[in-house]
Amino acid sequence: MRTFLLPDLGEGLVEATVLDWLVAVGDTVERGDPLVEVETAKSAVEIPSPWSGRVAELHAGTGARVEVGAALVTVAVTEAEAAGDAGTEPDAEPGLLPPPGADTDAGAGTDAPDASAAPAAAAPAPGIVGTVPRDEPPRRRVRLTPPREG
Amino acid sequence: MHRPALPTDSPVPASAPASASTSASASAELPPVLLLHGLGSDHRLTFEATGWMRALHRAGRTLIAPDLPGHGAGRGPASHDPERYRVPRLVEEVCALLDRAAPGTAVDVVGYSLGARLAWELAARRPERVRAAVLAGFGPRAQAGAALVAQTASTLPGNDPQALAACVEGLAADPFSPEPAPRAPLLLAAGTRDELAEGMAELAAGLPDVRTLWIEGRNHVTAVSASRLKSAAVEFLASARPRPA
Repeated sequence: MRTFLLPDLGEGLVEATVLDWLVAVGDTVERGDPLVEVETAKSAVEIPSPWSGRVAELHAGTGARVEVGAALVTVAVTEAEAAGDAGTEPDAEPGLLPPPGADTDAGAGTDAPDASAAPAAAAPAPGIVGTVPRDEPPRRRVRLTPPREG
Repeated sequence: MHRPALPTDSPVPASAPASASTSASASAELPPVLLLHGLGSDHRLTFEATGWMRALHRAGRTLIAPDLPGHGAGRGPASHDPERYRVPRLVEEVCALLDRAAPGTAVDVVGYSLGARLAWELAARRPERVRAAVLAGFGPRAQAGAALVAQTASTLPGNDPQALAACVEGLAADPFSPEPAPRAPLLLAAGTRDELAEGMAELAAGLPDVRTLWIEGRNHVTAVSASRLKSAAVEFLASARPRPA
């Protein structure tokens, strides 16, 4: 059994309110599966399961306030995962639970006037996260009527 | 299939669809999904923390998730000039991003709040760029609530209150108009307690190809993470069949 505590959601807030549980006691969950939606003062967050296993207990009902660090859910983790766990937090699955600060966009520059446009080599490509270029002036006027081509 | 997000300076992953490919196999694949976040937010708060990126990754979708100008932490000073945030300019910049990230492709779009407004403009004015779109947390009078949203968002870590104020002023210079309406299939969705979505039903009534979804009990802040909204959007975008032009 492992109990997952409400993590710091990164807004300097100390509590969150349960909006909806996405699992019930007895459900089997895979690591990364959505567990619960919570509301903070300014945003809504979906919290994924850090482990694979069977949900054993939900520690807060819908609408309840939970403090950061308080018990959220207890999971009977699968044996393989528990054995390999050795008291450390399992690593987040890449792409599912990116750690805070591991930014996925390098940033295309600042918004200062006259800063050069992002080089083409840094251009976002399919499958990745990018930024809208900050300082490229529009290269053409916005069409006020639907284009004719296509 | 999961497509982990990568830094922009990484080479294009081998699993990414070849750009501008017209092969049959590529055309059978669903296009990338462009995610446009809300005012005073960024792609992380609107789409990552809420589980949207996870849900779309799990559906095998490739994502393009920019941070709009004046938004997103850690990218240097943002402009305090309202002209920087005019709607046509933002739409044009999103198009420029698509020109590089998905050249020659009509993408699917998910927009929340301000992002939905931009998705509307993109779909209406650049129809060759949008295959189908989900517009959530949005209504024809959403602009009226922008200042309050920006005021609330100004207290979030990393946000620049002056940049957000300039953004609100810039956006206000381009009031929403239901004409021209997008031809692409649209899913309009909002929480039943979302005041910014007021008028969504009447907006939907004037559209050629639209579905609507109300999330019971949710407001502008809490509707975005609703699992029902995400699952409906994933299904809608997987099954959308644009009408022949």
